Amino acid sequence: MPRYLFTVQNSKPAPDTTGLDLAGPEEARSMAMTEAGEMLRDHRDSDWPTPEWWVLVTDEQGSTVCRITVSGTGGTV
Amino acid sequence: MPAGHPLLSKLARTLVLSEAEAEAVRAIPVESVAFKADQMISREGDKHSRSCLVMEGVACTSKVVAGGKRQIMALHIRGDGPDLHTLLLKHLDSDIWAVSDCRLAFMTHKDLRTLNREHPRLGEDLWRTTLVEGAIYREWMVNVGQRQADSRMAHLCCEILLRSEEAGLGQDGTCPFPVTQADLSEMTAMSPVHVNRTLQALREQGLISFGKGRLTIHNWPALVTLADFRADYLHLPTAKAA
Repeated sequence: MPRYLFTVQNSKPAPDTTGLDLAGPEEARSMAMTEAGEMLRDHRDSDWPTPEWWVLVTDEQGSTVCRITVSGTGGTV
Repeated sequence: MPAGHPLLSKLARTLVLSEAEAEAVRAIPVESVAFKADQMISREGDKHSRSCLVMEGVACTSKVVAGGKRQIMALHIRGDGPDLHTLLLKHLDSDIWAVSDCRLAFMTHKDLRTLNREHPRLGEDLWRTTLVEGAIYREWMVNVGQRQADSRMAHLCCEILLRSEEAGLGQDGTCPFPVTQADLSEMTAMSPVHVNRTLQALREQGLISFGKGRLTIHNWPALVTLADFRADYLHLPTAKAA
């Protein structure tokens, strides 16, 4: 099975050095969506730690499979 | 498992058995069966005529949803009875798998019913163990539903260490925990990516080590605080005389 690397940027950069063996790019994209959701859930009670978070999925050759970006801004109230 | 009858070892954790009670337990025949890691032990819908106790290794109770994803709802370590409830319920309502290589002790329902009838105190204790399992299921529901990833994983670690110590498997903050990150993902309802990141964060904070089939907790008070862990739901026993 091909291996995919999940690099995450939220409060601090977290490069993935081990990766995950998955069936293919569709499963890697699905995993990235789940990871982005879990990142958000873990920060539900705190302020936005950085202006922008992202999950970048690459294959072992370094080609991008997908990048999910999450951004948000507080309002005036 | 220590030498002797596995049911006797289990009951002796909570009760001081009379000679008559111990003799009745020793008279129950046991079939010891080995399972390999990731081997199915029982399938949802199975009708059982016997129940088992875990003697070695780790088993789990799980369900698979449409689409093939699996949720592990309970872990069973030495002395646990993953299907004790089939003594009273007609069929198994979830799957039981070997998480690691396991050895289970099977006893017939007929023999267990006779024991319960002739020694009601022992029957009550087996009933009690199924109630404690229910309490653990409830806590797991809270854990998966409400705690953030680091607290969720920390809670699981706290529970496993205390249960292992009670089973005579753990000491000095370390215990066997022969599970993979994929297993942890199915226990905590986190993606494997998130499990990996969460374990890494707990390691970096100096709270735990996990690997090669073992869990070590380096800072129990800090882990308990992070986990929001209160052990009362485990109803850990103190042996009571007949």
